[in-house]
Formats: sequence, structure tokens, C-alpha cells
Amino acid sequence: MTTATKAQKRALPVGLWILVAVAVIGIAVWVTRFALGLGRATNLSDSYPWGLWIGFDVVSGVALAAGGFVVAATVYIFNLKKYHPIVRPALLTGFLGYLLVILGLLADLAKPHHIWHLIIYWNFHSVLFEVGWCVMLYTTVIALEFSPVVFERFGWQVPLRIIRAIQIPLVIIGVILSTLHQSSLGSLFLLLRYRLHPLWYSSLLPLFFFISAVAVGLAMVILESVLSAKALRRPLERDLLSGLASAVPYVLGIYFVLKMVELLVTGEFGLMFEGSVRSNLFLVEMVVGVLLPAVLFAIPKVRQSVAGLFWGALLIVGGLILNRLDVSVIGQMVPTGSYFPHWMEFAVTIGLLASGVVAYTLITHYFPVFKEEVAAEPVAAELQAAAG
Amino acid sequence: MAKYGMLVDVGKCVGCHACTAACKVKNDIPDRVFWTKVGAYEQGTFPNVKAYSAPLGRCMHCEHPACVSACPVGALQKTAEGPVVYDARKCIGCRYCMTACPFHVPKLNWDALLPSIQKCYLCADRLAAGLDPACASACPTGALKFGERDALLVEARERIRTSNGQYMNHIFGEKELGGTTLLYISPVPFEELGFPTVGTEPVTKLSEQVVSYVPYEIGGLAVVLSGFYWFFQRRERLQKESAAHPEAKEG
Repeated sequence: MTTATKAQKRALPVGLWILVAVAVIGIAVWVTRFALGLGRATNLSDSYPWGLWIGFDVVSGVALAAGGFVVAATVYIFNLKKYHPIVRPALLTGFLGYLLVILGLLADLAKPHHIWHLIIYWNFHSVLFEVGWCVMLYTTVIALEFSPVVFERFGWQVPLRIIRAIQIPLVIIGVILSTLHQSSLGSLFLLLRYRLHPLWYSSLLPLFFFISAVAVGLAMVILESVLSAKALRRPLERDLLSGLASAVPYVLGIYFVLKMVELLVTGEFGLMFEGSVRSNLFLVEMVVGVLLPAVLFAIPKVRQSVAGLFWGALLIVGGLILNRLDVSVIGQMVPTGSYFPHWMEFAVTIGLLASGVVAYTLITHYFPVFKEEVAAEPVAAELQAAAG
Repeated sequence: MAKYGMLVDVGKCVGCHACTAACKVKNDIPDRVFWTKVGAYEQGTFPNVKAYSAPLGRCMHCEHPACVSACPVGALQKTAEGPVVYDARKCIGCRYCMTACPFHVPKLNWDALLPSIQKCYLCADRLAAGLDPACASACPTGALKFGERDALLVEARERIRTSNGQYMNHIFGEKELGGTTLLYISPVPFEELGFPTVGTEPVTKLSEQVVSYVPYEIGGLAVVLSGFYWFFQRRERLQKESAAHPEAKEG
């Protein structure tokens, strides 16, 4: 309670009102889409049935929400307690991320009024059936994981005790669902053997999606912490973030090596240099989105500076979004037709993003999300002691 | 019950569009959407041009359909007799079937407020009533012939043999992706007609294999994660104990 009142004293950032305006416009367009129908609100076609909403809002959105499960596993399962202060913001962005994925998906469905059919009609052979259930279950689990923040705010002791009692099983279920979900989004494209460009098509797609989700989960936590520290004028957990960043080169390194070995084994390595738009995008993805941030975060000086953390994380996030767009839209080889998103598609995507940021700002402002205000010095001293 | 088949003979098609019209009338198909459509193709360069037409880009009714495997709500089903049928009342409109189909077949009536997947269902209702599909009934030349798949394969081989080498020695659909209900024979190479080059392995195999591992993944992850939790908790407890009683370490 005391922390909440302390937080309330701080003024809301001025830029918030711009975001509120963007969010309101975006949500208005989102509503309009249902009155217009899918065909008139988008530039999708029989050649490109999937576009920006699937590629960005859904497939990238799920990966960008991976921070929640990565940090929850780090703190509660691997018992790295020093990362505890960033659990709540990570869970919050994970939860908001999943809500946005569901809103984006609703707009994208041709029959959105049938979305609940996922619950009653089952097809066990379908990867998308697995994906749908993972979204439903994980959104519930992550809401429960985050619920103590709400209970604390209002001083509800009984539900707080219940959640605390089942916290560890909840975290384990959450990590299982996330692992399945992140990898199953990759499995979704296993059926596209004759459609997806061979630089992206691979029988290891589920593994690639999972590993890159772990990397981007770490990057998103770093990015959000840096941005929210600036916007909300709160102290930055720099040493914690440097710790997270030090894990990134390993994760991205495994991803890079696996990807290259796989292309060598399948004999598709040379396709990288064919000079087409797709092969160039692939090179950008691998060099700028994977190699460069891995090297940057391997340098202690870079990952200990705020600017280094910010730019490194931004590269990873950008690389991941490009990868997901490539796999789910751009890399698909269709005989005819082309696709560039309609302005309403952009408006909905940007509006949903803005409303996510607004919700994050308001919730962190009124609820005890940053409960443990991190004193930079003690943690640094502790780290030094551990190192020395 | 014997499996149905439909033989499409590109060499016999005269481009009369009777199949297209019969299909649109029978199935009340929305404007600008076709479940079967006759396309025209030219082979060679002027003045030595041969013109061909054929109903292409229509549902192949695969033995192992990617669309059926993809559909999360089972709105697409493969029937025992061959047709792949669609139930718009179940469909959520995710369009995964459109993305998954190796032949780019399922379409959408984009103009509708609540669009549905548009795809041939081999007139399964007519089949149940003992009739041939509307398109095959309307075809005046035998370019579309409906029947039992095995018998049609025999006939297709016969037509290729008696074409004096004019036809490609290949029945597209006999083995492609594990076999399809539609069987094409043609005097034009199939790639030139826009057919994809596909192998004989069902495209659904890997994806369905991966999904079938899910229960084991859940079990395995539960054991491994609980194990990690137990291990790291125990390590912390032991560290605390040895810190509290440093002499116990030596003993």
C-alpha cells in the first residue's frame, strides 16, 4: 500500500496523452473492421491470406511476450533470486502481450464470432489447435501469476494466500505452456513445405522459434526496463539487466550455429547469396538481428551501459520481428499476387501497440508492480563481493 | 466402399466452360469465386502454337489433405469415399487451410461480411444420391470423368498408351503427396500448366508427427522443471546450513 501511494505521487508522463490518442484511433479502426468485413479492411487476398495482423500482431506478438516466462523460470525454477524485482513487470508485459495477441487475432479471423469454437471442436492433428489452447491456458496462468499485484493493492489477504500457495506449480505450468506455445508457432509452418522459402523452411522450425523466443524474452525485459525507467523516472536495475544480457550471446549463438549447420546439411546454404529480396532479408535477419547483438552483449562494457543495453535489445527485437514476418508472410512463395498492408491494418496494429503501452504505464502507476525499488548500490556491491 | 476418383484429361478439354457453369449453378457460388474454372494455355511460339484449356486449380481431394490436418476446429474433413468436405458452421476463418494447401486451392469470398472458405467438395451430396458431380455430368467430351479411382487409373494409363506419345507418361495425382482423388493426364508438361513439383510423401507427415509428441513434451517438461526446482532449492538449503554450521563441513 505504501509503495502504491508513493507511486501515485509521481506524475504520469506527458507523452502518454499522445499514446492515448493513437490507441483510441486504433481501437476505433479495430471496431470498424468488424462492420466492414475482413476483405474491405485489409489488402489480404487468396494469394496472401495471412498478412500484417498474423505476422506481427499474432506470431511476433507471442514471441515478444516471452519475457514473462523467461524471467519467471529464471527466478522461481533456477532460483536466481536477485532477478526478483523484474518478475512483476515481465509478467505484466507478458499478460498484456497475450491480450493484444487475442485482440489482433479477433480482428484477423474471417468469422470472429466463431472464435469460441476452439473450445468445443477439437482436431488433435492440428498445430493451430495446440496453439489456440496454449494461448487460452497461458493467458489464464499468467493472469493468475500476476494477480497478487492486484490483491496486494486492495489488501485482499485470502486470495493472496491461495495464489502464494500454488505459485510454484503455476510457474511450472506457465513455463510448460510457453515452451509448447513458442515452439508450436514454429510447427505451424511445417505444413508449408512447398510454400515457404527454403531459407526459412526447416524441420527444426519449432526449435528455432523456441530459442529465438528465449532471446527476445530477455531483450524485451531489458528494453521495457530501460524505457519504463526513463518514462516513469524510476531507478534502473542496470546490473540485473547486464546479467540478463550476458546470457544473450549463448542463446543467440546456439540459434546461429544451428541455423547455419541446418542450411549446410540440407544444401541450402548458397541460397543466402542468391541476391533476391528474400535472401537479402534473411541476411539482414542473421547479421543485424542475431550476430551483431550477440557480439555486442558479449562485450562487458556494452552490456553495462544503458545505451548499449538499449540498442542491443532493440536489434534483437527488430531481428525477431523481421524473422516472424519473413516466415509468416514475406517468405511465402505464391504463384501470383502481391501484398502490402492496408492503412487500416497498420492503424489497428499501431493502435493495439499504443494501448498496450498505455495499459502498462497506468498499471505500473497505480499498482505495486515495481514493488522492490532497486537500490543500485547494494546489488552492485553484492555482485562485486561475489566476483571478488 | 471403393474410393472415388476424377480423371481430368487436358487433351480432351475443348474449353466450353460447361463444368464451370454447372458448378456455379449447382453450388450457388458467390460472385467472382470459382470452385472449378477453365483456363487457356498456349504451347510453343507463333506460328507453331498449340492451344490447350483445362479445369485447373481445383481441389485435388488429397488422400492426406494438408487443409484437414491444419484446421483447428475440424471444419474440413476427409470422407472415406474421397471428398474433402467443409462445414462453414464450424469454421472460425483463420485461413490456415489456405496457407497450408500445397496446391493453393482454398479461396475466400473476401467481399462478404463473414466470409467462408470456398472450395470444391466433389458434390458429396450428389454422390450420396448416386449421381456424378455436377461438373463431370456436364462435361461433353469426357475431359472430366468421374468413377472409381482404381478403374480411372487403368483408363488413364490406357489413354496415355493410345496417345502415340503425345501425352506425358505421368498421371499427376497417382502418387503425388501420397495420392489425390483428382488424376490429371496431359499432353502439356505439368509444370507448364502451373502444377507444383511435389514429392510422394504426404505433406502432413512431419507436422502431425510433431503434434503427436505434445503429451510426452508436457510430461517431460513437468519432470525436468520440477527437478530443476528441487535441485536449486536443495542447493540453497545446503548452502545455508553449511554457512550456519561451518564446522559440519569438515566433519
